[in-house]
Amino acid sequence: MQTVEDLLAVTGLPFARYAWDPKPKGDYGVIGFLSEVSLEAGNRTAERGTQYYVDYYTRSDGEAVRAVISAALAPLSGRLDYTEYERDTGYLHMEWVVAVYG
Amino acid sequence: MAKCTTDFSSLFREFDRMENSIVPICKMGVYDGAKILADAIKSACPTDTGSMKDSLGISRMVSSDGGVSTSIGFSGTDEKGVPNQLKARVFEFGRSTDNLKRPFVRPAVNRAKAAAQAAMAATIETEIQKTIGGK
Repeated sequence: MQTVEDLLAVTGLPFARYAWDPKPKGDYGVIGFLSEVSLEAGNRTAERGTQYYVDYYTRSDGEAVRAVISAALAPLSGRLDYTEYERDTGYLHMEWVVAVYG
Repeated sequence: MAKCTTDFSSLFREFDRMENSIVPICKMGVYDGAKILADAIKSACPTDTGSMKDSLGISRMVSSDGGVSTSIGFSGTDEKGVPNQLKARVFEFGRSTDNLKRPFVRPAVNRAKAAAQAAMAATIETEIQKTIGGK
């Protein structure tokens, strides 16, 4: 089974699990636990899984990065859930949500 | 040749009655589901957020395009004048330079979603039965 880290490794972008940098110098990404989830079939729980968030902070315009990460996370049906431009830091913050089942 | 006649007038009366009642019934159902979600979010709120927890509310029910919907959100400001909505967003999504990310809305919704859907269905079904039965 492919992990989120495996999928993101092909992007060549800097990702770390839960590692947050108080004084970031460049672009960086963080992978973290979001929630337990379950797939329902009828009234029954068919499958349980784990939802992760994938944050990426970039000072580029973000278009290329967004395309690369979205493509990498496609096998886990990763979806871009949030984007915000931080005026005070100049970072564009993007967050994807992915779910791993089984 | 056999001839069969049926009086549909009572059935049409039920349809008329349902037509006038279905939107209010759906609003009751959506409210019951939203209340479960709001309670779940409230109980998952980070504790050190002052007034943010108390500012969570359910907005008015909106009926449009054949559906009924509402919103659950934070309102107002805390004692320092910081908008509660902004604080909730920082906790939910984080920022590049503050290690404050503690998602609580989406996990709470994931946990309570099935119960909310069941409550909506139960309320709507019960109210429809009352409407049809209450001739």
